[in-house]
Amino acid sequence: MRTLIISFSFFWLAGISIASESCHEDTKSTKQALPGDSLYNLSSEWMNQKGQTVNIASLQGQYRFIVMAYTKCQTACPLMVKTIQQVRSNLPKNKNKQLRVDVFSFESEAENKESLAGFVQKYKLDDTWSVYKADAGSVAELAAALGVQYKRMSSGEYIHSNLLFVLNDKGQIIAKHEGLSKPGKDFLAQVSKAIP
Amino acid sequence: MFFWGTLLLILNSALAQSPSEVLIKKGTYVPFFRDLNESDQELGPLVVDKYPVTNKDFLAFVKKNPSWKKSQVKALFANNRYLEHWKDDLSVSADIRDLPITNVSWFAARAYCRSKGKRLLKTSEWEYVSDAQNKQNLDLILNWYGKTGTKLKPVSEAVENIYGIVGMHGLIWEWVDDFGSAILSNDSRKSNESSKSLYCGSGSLKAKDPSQYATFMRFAHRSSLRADSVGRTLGFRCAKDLITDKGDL
Repeated sequence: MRTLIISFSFFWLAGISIASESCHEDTKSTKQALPGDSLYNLSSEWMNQKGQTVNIASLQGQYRFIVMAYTKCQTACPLMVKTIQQVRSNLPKNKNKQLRVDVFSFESEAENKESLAGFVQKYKLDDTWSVYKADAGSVAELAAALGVQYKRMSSGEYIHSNLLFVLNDKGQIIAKHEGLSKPGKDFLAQVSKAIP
Repeated sequence: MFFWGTLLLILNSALAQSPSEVLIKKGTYVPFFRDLNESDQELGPLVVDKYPVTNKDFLAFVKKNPSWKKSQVKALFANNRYLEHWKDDLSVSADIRDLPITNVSWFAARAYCRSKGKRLLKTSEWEYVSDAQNKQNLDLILNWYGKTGTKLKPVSEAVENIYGIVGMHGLIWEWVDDFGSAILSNDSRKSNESSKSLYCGSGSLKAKDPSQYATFMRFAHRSSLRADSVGRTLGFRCAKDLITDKGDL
């Protein structure tokens, strides 16, 4: 009798663990699985340098650098590109391989497929980089969600905060660097630790 | 026939404003802080809500849009103090129904206005229609900014300004659509200072008229906000562009 109870409870426990496992799988595959603080809750539509429409929510599943800029920018952009490339080259190869870089433009009017592609050419960016534009409302929401402040000048230039983010596969911010200086060792360690 | 009737109705509703809305003719906003040759800004014509949105209004919105219930709202869109003065998801006690809605984030305010086919006011529009640079308002404004912990009052009891808009000063602070443009730095591209020194410290030096401290307070307040921020005295009102061929508007 005792053995029976034990073996019964064994099966019972096993059953629960199987059930919870499959439940976990279910939630993973649906959109509801997005954490509340995921950037991908925005689900706005963007156009990339190839002219393709990309929903921001579809960026989930990979680790990403995220920055906001504009392709005409003269001062901050070369530094920003260099900073990201430096950080990536200091990461172990297997971790760098998992990273993508997404540049979102502040400019909703003047930006087009050619200007986005031009940015990629100018800085000789490989295909792990994407540059995007969207309508003014989507730009405002992304900037707001990231805490990026920006203001368009009548010259077409932007005053903006210089913030670099690293997002995990679920769209949560796992590291943030402010300013144009080279990020310190702490930032590198944070990124390296977060990527499996 | 029915089609033309409907069209007329739509045209009418686009042109005429209801008693709870105020028509603002074309105007020019003279920026209080100028960044890098910033020019005057043309605005309007606009239809602006006469009153800020109330708890009652916001409750009706939440009932129709369950994702904005305080138990449902995504952390990206509002922090954990969102609607903290409401007992639960869908009950608003009688004594606060007519008070302006507060404890709402920028995302929530924006979603509300969008549900009405409207939008939040831009900073330039808010500053213009609030008649904030009228020296006669300055005492009222500064007096109110100086008080802390004042009780909110029903929107209908607030002060009406020269445009007929009620409660722009002395009741609550209001969200603007471009709150993130309140950058008071000289040139962020050359700087890597921390946000505080960028947006607060040097900003006051750029005010056109330092005596108008009140405007500086509003810009500083806006630049301190995050899109998920909520506040006990932070609410909003909506507006929409008026599309018309009447040249005199």
